[in-house]
Amino acid sequence: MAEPRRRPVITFGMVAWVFVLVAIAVVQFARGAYIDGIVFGLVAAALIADGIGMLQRQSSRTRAVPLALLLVIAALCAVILLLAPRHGVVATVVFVAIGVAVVLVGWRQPGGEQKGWTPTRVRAATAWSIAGVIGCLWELTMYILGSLHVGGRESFPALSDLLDPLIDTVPGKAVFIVLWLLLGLFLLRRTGRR
Amino acid sequence: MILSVIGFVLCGLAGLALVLIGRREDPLASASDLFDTVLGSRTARIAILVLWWWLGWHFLVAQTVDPN
Repeated sequence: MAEPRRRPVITFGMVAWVFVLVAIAVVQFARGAYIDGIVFGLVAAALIADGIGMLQRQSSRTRAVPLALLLVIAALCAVILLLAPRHGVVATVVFVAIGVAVVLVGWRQPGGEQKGWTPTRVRAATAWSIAGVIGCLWELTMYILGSLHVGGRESFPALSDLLDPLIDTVPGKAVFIVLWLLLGLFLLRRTGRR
Repeated sequence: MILSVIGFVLCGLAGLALVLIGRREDPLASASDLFDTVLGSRTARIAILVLWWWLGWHFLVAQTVDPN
């Protein structure tokens, strides 16, 4: 059952996160990864629409996904992704399914800040933000420097250039998949705590 | 190439340092506590989940390395 439209409340955090998504979308379009750019653009548009109150909130709260179910799904995804070739149809189908599922789970959790921003949290958020921005700027700088001339990728490799050969090996791919899924489980468990 | 690797390693070490510092009570909140707070916002929650998803998509499905 849908609740009536609420008054829009725009916070600094909302604007910052939408800015991040839009910035990534622009970079993806610039590097010719149009699907990636469209995904980030659509998510940013949906969040803007939600933020200004254009979308209706559902009154029924989604219960957290049980850990056992998450672990089974993650293990299944790990096996399929490890066996499926990179950049293939099977991996694409699995990723589309994962993407739709996590967005639906994340979206249906109740919104709004549930915990207060204490000084220690503000300091931690600031430190993490600074580290994140520096990392992104470094990645962007290496990408631009590497794109300026032929062979530039070897002199100024971006993170993708460095990790791609590793993930092309079976052990490297396995490690990446496990770490990536563990991070996803961590985020989904945190998401389900509210 | 070494310059690039050093930069990425330093970024990784900075993240690790923040995790370790956050395990003490002060002056920074722990990474888990910070995520609990940040993920309370739908905008942040969806943005972080999509960023996580894209990381896997980028390396396993989409064009990972751009032609020079």
